[in-house]
Amino acid sequence: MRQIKLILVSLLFLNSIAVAQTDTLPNRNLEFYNYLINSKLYDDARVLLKSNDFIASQSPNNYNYCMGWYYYNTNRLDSTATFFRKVNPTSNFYNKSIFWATYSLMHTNQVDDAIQLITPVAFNDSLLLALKNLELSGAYLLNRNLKEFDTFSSKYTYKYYDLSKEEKTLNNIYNDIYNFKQKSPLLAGLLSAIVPGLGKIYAKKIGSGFSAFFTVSILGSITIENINKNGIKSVSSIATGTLFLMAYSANIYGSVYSVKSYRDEFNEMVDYRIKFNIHIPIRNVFN
Amino acid sequence: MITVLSLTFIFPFATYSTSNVFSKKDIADFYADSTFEKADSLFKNGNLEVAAMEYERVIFFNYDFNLSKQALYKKSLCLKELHKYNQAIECLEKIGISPFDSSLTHNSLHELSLLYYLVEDYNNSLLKLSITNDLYGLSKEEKFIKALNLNELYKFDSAKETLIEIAKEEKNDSLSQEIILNINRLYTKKNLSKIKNSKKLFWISFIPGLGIAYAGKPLEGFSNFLINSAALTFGVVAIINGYYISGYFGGGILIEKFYFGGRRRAEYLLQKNNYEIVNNLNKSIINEIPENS
Repeated sequence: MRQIKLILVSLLFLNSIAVAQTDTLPNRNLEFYNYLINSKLYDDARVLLKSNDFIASQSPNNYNYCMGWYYYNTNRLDSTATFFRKVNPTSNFYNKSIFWATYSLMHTNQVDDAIQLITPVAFNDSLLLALKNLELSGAYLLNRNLKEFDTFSSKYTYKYYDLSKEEKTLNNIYNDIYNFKQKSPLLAGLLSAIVPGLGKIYAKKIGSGFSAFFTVSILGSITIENINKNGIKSVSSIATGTLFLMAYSANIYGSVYSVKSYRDEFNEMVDYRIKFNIHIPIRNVFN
Repeated sequence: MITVLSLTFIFPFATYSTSNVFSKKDIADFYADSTFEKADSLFKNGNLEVAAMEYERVIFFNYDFNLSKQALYKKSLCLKELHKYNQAIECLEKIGISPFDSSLTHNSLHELSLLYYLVEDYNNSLLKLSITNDLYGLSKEEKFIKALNLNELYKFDSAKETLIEIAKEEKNDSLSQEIILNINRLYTKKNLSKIKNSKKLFWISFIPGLGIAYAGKPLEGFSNFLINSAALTFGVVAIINGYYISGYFGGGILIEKFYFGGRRRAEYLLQKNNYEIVNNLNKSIINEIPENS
């Protein structure tokens, strides 16, 4: 009996040593991983993530989170979304992962997937709810679904410092999209036919418009000069006249194309602004 | 009852005491020492990426600054073998110059001078060599790197002097004389005159085509001269014959394109020519100086 008690005491003593050792391998590996990412030592982080020691020491959720975070920091957002989506709702990293996955999908133009991913997720925290609202409104704005954006933007609270500026900015972007004046390619072509380069100026390509004007004018002047001196049937008149007609046609075609280019540039700039303004709040909330 | 009381006492005592017997620093240092051995073993076996990561682990986990510096140095060697020269430089620059650890400082300065040469930052390489010279004097290998750097900066006289110094250190007199002869042969005026001066090129290029010819392509320079002349002639003749617009705009645009295009072409050819000559010179020097020197 006495021996049994001695054994029990020893076992309890040994167990307490184990409990006292809070410096466990999984934590040390995670600490080291965070250090590598924060110090931008991505090559070393990649090697650590591939090591058997690290994989064995982390739960699947932790591991997927670490992989997602590594890919996010190295700007590979398609892989970022893949790993963050694997993080389970039971994990401490779930909330952060779901938002980063959503953002990564939007950034890689998989907006519908992003909407499907985050819509069913319920948050108890009011800040996270507001953030979800912001992300969804941004997603609908990326899709140019202004009606749905209206629905979500009406729920903006403007009370959280981490989000309020971006909520206002998204509203401004909405106004820019709503007020954007579509230019007519037909009108651009017609204007350039009348005055070379005017169609490009109409499409807000001022420098290009003036350049087209001078090129076509010079070639036209040279053609007229040759016709006056040598007559319309001379070789030099035909040659310069051909050059003039080519430049004139190119100017009209260029003006028509410049309207499309103007529209594309506007959309690109708007998308960039939306993505920027849905990115910053996530960083503010989770960093 | 006594057993229960003693258990109640032992449990928290054990918990409290063990956490104070091994402090966080002790655990970290112990962990770091064992990781260093692991990293060294990986380095010896050629597993360089993992070794580099393990050296970084040593740096992160230990409290001993000297151990960290050693780990940084060894990590830089791994990165150098992996051809990640800029990252290796970053590691070595963190070591700094310490009067208390002269061999590590000397080694890191040596590696830095070589790495800066490899990334074509010749001025920084010479700076590191200059510091090495002040503190420890230059070894043969370091003088060699110095000569290569000086060649890249077109400081051929200084480079030649440095190489002759290396040759004179050779114990075998006849070999030493042979090396000096070869160095003199490489650094003749005839060889070095092939290096073109960019300032001279700037002034010469005012005459169309002459810059290209000076940069080593006489035929191309002559063609450029002819095209420029044709454009000028066209413009002048057109104006004389009353074709003012054709002459001014047509001739003018043609001249502008070919003249300035020719100047840019001449600059590019000069840089390419000089790069090839210095590259060949450095290769010849590497071949001439025996390995065991």
